[in-house]
Amino acid sequence: MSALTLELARKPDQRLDLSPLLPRRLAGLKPKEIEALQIGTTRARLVVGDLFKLKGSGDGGMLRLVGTDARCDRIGHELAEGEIVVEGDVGAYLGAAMTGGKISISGRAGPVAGAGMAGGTIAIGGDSDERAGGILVGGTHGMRGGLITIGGNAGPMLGERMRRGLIIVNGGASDYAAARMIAGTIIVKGTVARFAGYGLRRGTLILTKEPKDLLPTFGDCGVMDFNYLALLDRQLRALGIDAKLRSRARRLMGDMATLGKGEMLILA
Amino acid sequence: MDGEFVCEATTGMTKSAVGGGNLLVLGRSHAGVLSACERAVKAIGAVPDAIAPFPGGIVRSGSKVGSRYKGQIASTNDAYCPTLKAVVDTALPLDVEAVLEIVIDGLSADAVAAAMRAGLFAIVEGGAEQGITHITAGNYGGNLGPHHFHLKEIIS
Repeated sequence: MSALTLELARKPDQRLDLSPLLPRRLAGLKPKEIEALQIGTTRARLVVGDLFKLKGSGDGGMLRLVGTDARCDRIGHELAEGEIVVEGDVGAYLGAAMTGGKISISGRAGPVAGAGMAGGTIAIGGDSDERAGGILVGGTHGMRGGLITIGGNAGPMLGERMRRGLIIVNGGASDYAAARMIAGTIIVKGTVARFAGYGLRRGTLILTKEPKDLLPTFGDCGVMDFNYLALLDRQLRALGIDAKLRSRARRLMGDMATLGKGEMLILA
Repeated sequence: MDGEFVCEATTGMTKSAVGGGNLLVLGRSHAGVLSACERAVKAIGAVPDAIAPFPGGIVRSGSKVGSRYKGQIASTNDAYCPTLKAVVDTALPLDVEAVLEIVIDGLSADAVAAAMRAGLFAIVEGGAEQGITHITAGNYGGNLGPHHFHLKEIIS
């Protein structure tokens, strides 16, 4: 069964709110009804049919968005089930507040991807902008569950106020990675910039390279073997992710300026 | 299911026995410390009237006298936890990454002292080459009981 495919026919002249395009919601609609869904964010009325060409049927629980760009916001917002595959870049709020299902994008994600999500999986092929896995506007906590993988680099404030779940960054992370994190796990394979772990309360920040600037409010516990890392590596392999985590790491605890029960593990 | 349950119907009891003699072995690798402790437990097994009562004779999650939790008389010996060096009043140097404890009970204080002596010399056999950096014992401010075993006297 072919997936319902929406191909962006021309560059939008305003930001788009694509939150109505959820696989489950579209499955029961006829093409004309899908084309009539409003996706504009200005006073100029804009519907799906004005910008997208429709192909296939959405009965398989899968939606493909083709040719999207950085103006396509709120893709997969509050997604609970099904799969969204995006061929292109996306704007802000990708998969925000989602509770289940799967989103994969081939390009770059805008700000606050996966903000406040509680479950499901987001796979970002390229870079992600600021605050991935962070807080939704008006919220108090960041990501509460699920998995985000970022193929490229992550922007500032990665996993801000994150409470549970896992973020894996194949590239580097900008300033304030794991800022004010409450719990959960973040793995960064590349380099992290300044202030990593700022305000870290609990949770684990796993780094493969020692940061140039370590916050002075982190205390060194030395290098040792961690069974936990081997278990995590095995769990990730079961998910098809080869994180190449070694079990030996240097452990730093912090941020002592706050609760100080978090840890930064720098693989040895 | 399979097997049988076997235990003593009655057990003897003495009030003159001594419990809680201990050795803390510190080192640079877990494998080295474990190997040293296994040697020590074997040596202690040859000492009459003394036992190392924990499984395998070795304690990985050692406790101290006293606790921060209400209703619990003993909790983790945090001063000797390698992973907590940065957040507690640690007794460990930064390069110590493994700590194991051997607890010894005996029918008399002399038996405990003899077992500790046997254990100490067995650990020393591997020497610094095995990554052992320190051998010490938990005294807990003298609050563990009336018997005090000073390591320097035991080896003399």
